[in-house]
Amino acid sequence: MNGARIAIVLLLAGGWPLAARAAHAQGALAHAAADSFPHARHQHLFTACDACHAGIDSSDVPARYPTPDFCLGCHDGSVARRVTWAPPPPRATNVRFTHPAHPPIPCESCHAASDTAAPMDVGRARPDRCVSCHAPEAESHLAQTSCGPCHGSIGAARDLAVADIARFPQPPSHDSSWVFRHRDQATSPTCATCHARQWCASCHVNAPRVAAIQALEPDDRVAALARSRHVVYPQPASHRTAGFLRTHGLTARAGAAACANCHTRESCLTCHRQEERLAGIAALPRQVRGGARGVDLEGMRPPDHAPDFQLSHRTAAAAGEAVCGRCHAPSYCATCHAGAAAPVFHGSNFVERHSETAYTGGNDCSACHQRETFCVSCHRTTGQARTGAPLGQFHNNQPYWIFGHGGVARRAVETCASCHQQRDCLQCHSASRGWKVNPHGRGFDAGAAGRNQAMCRLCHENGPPQ
Amino acid sequence: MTIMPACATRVVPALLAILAAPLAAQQVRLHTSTTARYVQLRPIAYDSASGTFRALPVAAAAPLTEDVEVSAWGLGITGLRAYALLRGRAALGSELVWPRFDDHVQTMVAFVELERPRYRVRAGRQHRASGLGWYAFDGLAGTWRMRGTFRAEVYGGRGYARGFLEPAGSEALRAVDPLQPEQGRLLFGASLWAAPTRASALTAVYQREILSDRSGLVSERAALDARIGLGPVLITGAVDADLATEQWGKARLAALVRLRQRSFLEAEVFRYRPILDLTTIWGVFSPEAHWGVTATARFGPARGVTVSGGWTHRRYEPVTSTTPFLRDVGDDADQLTAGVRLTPGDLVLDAGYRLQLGFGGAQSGGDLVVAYAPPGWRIGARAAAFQQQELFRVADGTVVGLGAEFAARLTDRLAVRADMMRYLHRRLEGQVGADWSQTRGQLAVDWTFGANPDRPRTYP
Repeated sequence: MNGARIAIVLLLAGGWPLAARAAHAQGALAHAAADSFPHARHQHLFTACDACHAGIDSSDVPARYPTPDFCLGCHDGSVARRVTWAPPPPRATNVRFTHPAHPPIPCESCHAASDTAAPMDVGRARPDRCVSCHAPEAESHLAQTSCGPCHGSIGAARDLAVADIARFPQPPSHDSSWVFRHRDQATSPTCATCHARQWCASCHVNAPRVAAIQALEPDDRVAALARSRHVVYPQPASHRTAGFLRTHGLTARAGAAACANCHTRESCLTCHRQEERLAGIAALPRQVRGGARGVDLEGMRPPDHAPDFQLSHRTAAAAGEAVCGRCHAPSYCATCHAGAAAPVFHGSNFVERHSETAYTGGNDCSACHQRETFCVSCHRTTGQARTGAPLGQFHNNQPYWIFGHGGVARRAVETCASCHQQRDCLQCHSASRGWKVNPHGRGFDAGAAGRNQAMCRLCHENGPPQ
Repeated sequence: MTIMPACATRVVPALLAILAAPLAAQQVRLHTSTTARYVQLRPIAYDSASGTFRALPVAAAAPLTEDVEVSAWGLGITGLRAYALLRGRAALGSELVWPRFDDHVQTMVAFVELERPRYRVRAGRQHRASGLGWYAFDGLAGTWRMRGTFRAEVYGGRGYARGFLEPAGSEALRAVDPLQPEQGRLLFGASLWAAPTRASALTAVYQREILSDRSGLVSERAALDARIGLGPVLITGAVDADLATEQWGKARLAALVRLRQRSFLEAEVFRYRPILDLTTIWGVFSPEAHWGVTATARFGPARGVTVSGGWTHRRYEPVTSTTPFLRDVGDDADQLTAGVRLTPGDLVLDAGYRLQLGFGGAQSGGDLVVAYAPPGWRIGARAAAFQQQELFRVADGTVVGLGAEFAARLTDRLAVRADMMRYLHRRLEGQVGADWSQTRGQLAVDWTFGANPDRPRTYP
């Protein structure tokens, strides 16, 4: 579990190129100390290093190692068993070190396996030995604030393979909070020791606009590593403050350049739907194929969208689409208001049990549905609605329902309209034919209703009575 | 001789200007949503011999819906974009006439919009959601943002039937009610929005609909919505009025107290009276209003645990036209709800119960969902059961349902979801009528193309 946490923390330290884990760092050091030649077993035969490495102080690389024939002087199969040994190839590295520049130093100062090791118990030089002279107060060579004195840029070390670069150890400074601090040192030439332009660009969506990133050389090997990199954008502390969702627009307007380190326009457009209206968004780079993905935001639920908001959003929606439309496309509203699929607004199986809700107007059905049409079409399909002569049996098998339906109709006339056509009612409620039953209840204002005379004439063929 | 209509002399240069815009700047986003449903229904028919209703054999419908949403911008003028939402419908071997499936292609929304910091102009078919409900129209809408805290909007054009995406007077409407007026309607409206403080907002909207030949009024309505935030307390209120008949419509006043991140208490008092257009006779029956109160609570006592409950009481006006044939009709209705949601790790357990008694019918029902929902996909089982005895209608009995659901976001741009439920209906002894024994299911695919992958269709 701790390993997983460490890995996550290191992944978050986006400034480091290779998601190098601590284990890699340890492995790299161990690799440096490894030696294929058993020096310790030859300590009594070779008491001085220059017996084999006579050319070490020169720039003549082949002279730094003995030839294979030198070994065969003993390992010929008669004096000692035959061996095959070849000098190691030149090591791919970006270390600037050269032996000729360090002639006065005894070999064991750098190559001894430990401080108490026997004189010929040596191996490859350990970087911490370098630091013992070059930075006496440093705890390790990785703690150096500058890599330059010992290491050249990665671009100059063309012999390094992708795998070699992937094994680069991670400096202690590149901890979990390094991603928030690395900007201050990003202009240092020491970054180029390990980093190339593509590595920064795998996180920074604004890489082409950042001078420090463009100052780095491009490198195909680093680009290959960057492509397989799993980028995780940590959330800055400022983004976790209360009210950030509400106030981030001010921050964006004040400094969109900072936002552009992680956010593309697409990040914002996840919620903000007005693509080109907001200056803070327009200032951000677009997501491009092959570029950094940027922070991939899920749609955030605003704090005023309380639970069950779909049932009570009327007041908020009344603010109009200019507010809602910043997050929601018209199709989002249509998901419920004109839904194609099974209703999202209503719970599952709602159609089977909607009648009680419809009777009480509990969900304000008419805000979305015109009952005279929406309900009728389905009720007619299922036989619930019918036209023609009144049939009281549907209403609880009450054949005389027709004589008492008025009170119920006044309470829930929309429910009547969800099955019946107007002419069903006109069979009785007409001033010019049928039973001529007056349907108008208390408080009926004929003058107001008469603002559409055509409707009045459905019953009053000569117009409403004056 | 005129060889080109006058409007074309303006439209053609505008189109050429758009086409001349740098192609690299043009962006298009396409979102398709394909939904295939399988629905069984059991129609009922009146048996004159027995004098009762009986359930007919199960009939199935398989409606297929294809929604295509297109948004294009970068058209050479900053803030200019085109948007359309088209819906295609087809019936896959249906035995039933599924509503609206004779309308194979429908343009639900289609507009061109110019969005600038101070104003927005939109032309075309559009929706208007406000305190008055959900209206659609073909026309113009203009919004002026005087300040960040004040906005005015006017809109108008050819109106559509409320809640029904068809022009008023269309054949589709007349098919369900032949007394619908033949004329279309014109719709005009205006709204003002102000946010005097960061936590407060006030919206007023006025809207008038007239018959297209100006021979009569269809509706004249106004609504006022307000919300005031006072620390952890959010007060919301809304009222709408039918100016044509000089009647108040719906109204509500609620206070919500946030206790913690996921906990709140809310109390509400409300009034309900339907708003009915003057083009139908339904309004002349003098619909009565009812009042009610609601109390809702939701608590999150522990991480991954949410408990909620609510109670609503409705009080109706006493029945004014009493007759010996209408007995035992109460003036009250109560509704109780309870729910619990548990999310231990990637598991989700959602259970809810609802009880309704009084006017409108009696119903007792519960739902249960158990799902495994790691990031990116979800699979689960559903169960539902309810018992109801409706008032004034032939429908009662106990229904038990079992089913399964699956959803997965295959890529950032591709998601699928499917569910299926089987319901079994056991009627009350001696009763006849509808039978809800049936199977329902759906399979849906959401796919996004082009620039700017859209936000998920649902909240995380």
